[in-house]
Amino acid sequence: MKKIVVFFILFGIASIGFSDCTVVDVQYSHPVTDFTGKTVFTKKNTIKECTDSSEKQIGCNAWDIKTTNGELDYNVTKVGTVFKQGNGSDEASQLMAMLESQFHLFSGWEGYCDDGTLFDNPFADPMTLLSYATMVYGAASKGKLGTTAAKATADIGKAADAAKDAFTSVTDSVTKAFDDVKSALANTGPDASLGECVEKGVLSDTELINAENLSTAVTTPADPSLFESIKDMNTIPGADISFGSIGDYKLVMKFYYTDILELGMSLMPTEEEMQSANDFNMAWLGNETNNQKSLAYANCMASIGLSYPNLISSYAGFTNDTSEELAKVYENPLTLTYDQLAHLVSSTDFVGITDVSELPPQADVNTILKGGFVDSMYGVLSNDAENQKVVLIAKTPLAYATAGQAICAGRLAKAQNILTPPPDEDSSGGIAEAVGMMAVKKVLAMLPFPYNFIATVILDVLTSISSVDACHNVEDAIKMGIIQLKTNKFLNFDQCYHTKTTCEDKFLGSCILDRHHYCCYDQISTRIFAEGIKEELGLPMKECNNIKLEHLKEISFTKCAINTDPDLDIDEDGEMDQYVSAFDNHCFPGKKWDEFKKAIEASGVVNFDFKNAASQAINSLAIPNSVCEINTDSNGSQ
Amino acid sequence: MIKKLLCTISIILITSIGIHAKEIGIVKAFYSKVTKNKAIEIRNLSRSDEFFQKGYSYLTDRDKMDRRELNNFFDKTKKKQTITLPNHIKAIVEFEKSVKKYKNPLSAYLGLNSLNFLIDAKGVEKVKRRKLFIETLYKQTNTCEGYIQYADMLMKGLGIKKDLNKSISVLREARMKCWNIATDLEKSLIEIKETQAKYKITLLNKKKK
Repeated sequence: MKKIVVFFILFGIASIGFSDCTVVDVQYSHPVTDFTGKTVFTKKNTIKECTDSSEKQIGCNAWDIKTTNGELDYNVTKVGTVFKQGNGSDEASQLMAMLESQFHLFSGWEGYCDDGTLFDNPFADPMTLLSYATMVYGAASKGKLGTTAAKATADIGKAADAAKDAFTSVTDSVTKAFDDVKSALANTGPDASLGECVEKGVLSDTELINAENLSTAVTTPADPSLFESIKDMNTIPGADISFGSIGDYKLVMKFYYTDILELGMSLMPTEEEMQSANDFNMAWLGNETNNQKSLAYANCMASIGLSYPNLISSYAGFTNDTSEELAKVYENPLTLTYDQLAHLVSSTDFVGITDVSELPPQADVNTILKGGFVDSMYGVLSNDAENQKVVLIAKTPLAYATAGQAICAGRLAKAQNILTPPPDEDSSGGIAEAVGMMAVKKVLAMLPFPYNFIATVILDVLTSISSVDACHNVEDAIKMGIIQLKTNKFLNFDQCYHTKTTCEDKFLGSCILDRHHYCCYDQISTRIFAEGIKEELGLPMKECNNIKLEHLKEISFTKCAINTDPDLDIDEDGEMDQYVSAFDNHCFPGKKWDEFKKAIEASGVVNFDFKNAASQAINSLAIPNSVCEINTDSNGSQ
Repeated sequence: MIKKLLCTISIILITSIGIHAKEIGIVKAFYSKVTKNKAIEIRNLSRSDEFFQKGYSYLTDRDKMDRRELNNFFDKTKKKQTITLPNHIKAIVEFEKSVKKYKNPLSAYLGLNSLNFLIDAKGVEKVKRRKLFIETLYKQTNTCEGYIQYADMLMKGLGIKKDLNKSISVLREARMKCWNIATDLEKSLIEIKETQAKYKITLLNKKKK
């Protein structure tokens, strides 16, 4: 939309308003036909396009103002005041610069930037939603869809788009569920350990319900074709990632969307088990440890084809680069003692047996296996009741790996999947954390639904917490959008003044994200000038664009005397506590006077006389002492 | 999401290249698997084995380890960390020389361990080196680890002719020579390998019919 208001400024005499209309269409209606067939229209509509204009005379010179509404000006380059070496203040260039400053008074705009803790709602991202759905879908189709075996020819981009569209319909309900989960984690905060959060989140009935609601929201799509799309995501490679070569070794991986997106954790074991399992994981992942049991665990895993690279390669769909055990699980049965079997059940089937101690001493294998994850994911090849051993064949690589954990880690298998290692002082701390997180992610579908889902939600919430300062950090500002980026730029060039602070996001009643509001101007001098004028005229500081052309003639550029210069402060509402003095004394606030002078001098002007310059500027506008404007408005009509 | 993916990829990259391992712990683990006299013998050999010393330094000496930059997974605003990682690639080359010249079983053990942290399990060079390390471990020590790995290699035919029956006989040998000193885990592994070898024979027989 473009609206042009033209001001004609003429010497002394009132301007004339006008209305200019053009006929653009004529329509005939209400026809009447006589018996001869002749038809006449009884109504005629004439459509005209008219110009709506307004004319004002407020001075004796002429200029135009054009206001264009629409695109935001993204050009955030600093606009400097360039006028050099003035002698006194009567140089024409200075006066023109003053006019420029005054002219920009009309271009003040409202900016804002956020500062605090940011929850970057992960559920607003369709791909994240998709990852949840794949998890839920995976739970429904375990054993039927193998990422390594599946071959699909459909286009992955098409599948992703379809899923994205379908998810749009559930975003609202998911977001609400997210808020519930987020609130429940309020007291943990970004510095809490993952373990604390999981304990608080997963073990709480309330959060279990919240997460289940979230699960329901995600898996209740309006579009029934959604699951078809998700199925594609399970079977179509999402990326071939080449890392190049190191020595003789290729570093290329193939990822499936499901593999990439799924996360997983299980219930919370004891602290001692956590620590031991952490050591085990670190050894398995190759991190340093002196713990002999951990090294034995790592060796055990590697001996049955479950070294970390093997598992990664398997997940990545590289059957040639993984172990034979993972590539052909159906040819590699595993012998488990009843104890190990119980650990396997314990680590996977939370609905049934939750602790090995609950098993009867001579538990019948069929009783143990009946129902749950183990029953569905393994075939029983043989059962030696006398020696209490059972031979299982895993149906998927993940099932094989889960059983391997139960064999090599025993009762710690349950703890394996929820760990993130504690921060380390030395240089390996970073990788310990990263690998820990990687481990958490990569053990993914070994865990039963819905616990992997619940824990994933919590993990995503935690990793969505980050500190943000869009007012001073450009990268944060970019993340927060174009308005905040522009505010950041202007603010850091000292072209904005603060008006108020509001709360943008709360956590159980406490504000965690502040939004700072500003009025910003195209120049530093304009900002100072605007502040001074508003204080002098008693105009609300919160409004950025409230200085009108008419105000110019009311301004006194006499610096307030010290005893009349108010100590101006902005209260919480953005209003001035005291403007009466400057307003009553009709003087320009001293602080702003000095600041303005300093800004002008900083740009290279010497011997600057503010009062003289301002007066001449006003004179150049030919604004008389008395009101001489005549407004004539005319509206076009049809 | 893209950031998450990139982060994941970077972690995988680092993980795939090889991860910082506390080699002292691994060496202790190895010594605990052999007799006291054998441990002394191997320790003395290793002290004079220049290839072992060099290979070992790639795993433990921070000045010789690999330096890499790591994205901070938890706080993306922080600067990248520089970390040191064991250089398994270079270490393996030295351990290979050590095994060829001195038949050092500790080099074989550490080399085998380093191979476990590399992707591309069936790469020709990797298979050759694995075979060398496993055979050395099997022939030079009576550790269960040596039997299990050798039987596994025969069962899979990696760098050697596939021989399921021989694999079973090696595991039988393990029951005779290392069973008494085997840990529960090692016993489990021996049983698993036996089960797998026998099952593969059953599958082969079914195919023949």
